Amino acid sequence: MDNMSHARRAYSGLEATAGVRAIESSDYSHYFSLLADNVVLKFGIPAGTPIGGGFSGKDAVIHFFTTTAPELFENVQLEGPLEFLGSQDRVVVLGRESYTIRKTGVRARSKAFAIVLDFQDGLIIRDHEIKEMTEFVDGWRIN
Amino acid sequence: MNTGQPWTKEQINIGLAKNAWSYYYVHSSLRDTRTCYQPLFDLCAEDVVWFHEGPQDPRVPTYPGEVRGKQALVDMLTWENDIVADLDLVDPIARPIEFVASGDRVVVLIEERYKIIKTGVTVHNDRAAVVMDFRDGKISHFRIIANLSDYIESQIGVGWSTKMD
Repeated sequence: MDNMSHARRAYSGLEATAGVRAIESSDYSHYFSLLADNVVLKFGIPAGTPIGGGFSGKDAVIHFFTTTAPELFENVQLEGPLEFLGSQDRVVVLGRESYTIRKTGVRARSKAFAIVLDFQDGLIIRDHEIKEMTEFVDGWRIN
Repeated sequence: MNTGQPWTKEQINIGLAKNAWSYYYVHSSLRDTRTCYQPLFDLCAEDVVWFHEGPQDPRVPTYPGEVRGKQALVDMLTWENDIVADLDLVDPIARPIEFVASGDRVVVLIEERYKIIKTGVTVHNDRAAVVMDFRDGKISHFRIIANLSDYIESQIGVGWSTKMD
């Protein structure tokens, strides 16, 4: 199986429920199964938020999606199918999502993202999520 | 060695995308903003659409938002000079611009730094994505996905997100 197929499989659980219900932690099961032990997850948003520094290691990444993310966001909805672009060891996943920021109650709608996945030996070693998360960052700058 | 294989659509479009973003490899202190964007403009279709993702607010100029038409894009990138300065790649050798393509779409991955003139704050975007669509060898769409938190905050203050409809 090539890395494009791995990437499609990783997000198949999320795509299966897009437009039907909010994302649940169990939807990430395929993604979790494709993580390397030394995977690094980064969001590329400023430090000073709970996710600004990123996460290192498979256990930490799984903990983020199963525990931390649900504490920060609710009613996360993937908007439509994902688009996959790539070659060899890198796959870029384009999509949109909506979510409510628990801290402020603000609903962030149709937020674009580009997820950059780097693979090694069929496993994800880097997940760099480029997300336009201005409402979230603003929410964490309010005293 | 020439293998005799024709270039793929992706290879051709990545070559064009590299040309469009070539100005980024000239340090901002040496860049002539009257001419440096010309390769990019030359590659744009007349009806090009430039869209910067993010919450739109009339109090925030330039971006996020949409610009339609080549001349409007030229005007916007000229106007941008009044808003941000010292726009550079962080390290063009250690971390050059990366390109990922499928069909007529090229995703450009950039690590950039710029200064917001109004506040003097320097922003470091560890990664930003520019999604470019090509049509007949011309760029028909740009879509930028990047952190704009500091820029929006500089214009309308902390807490803006809780005051929008």
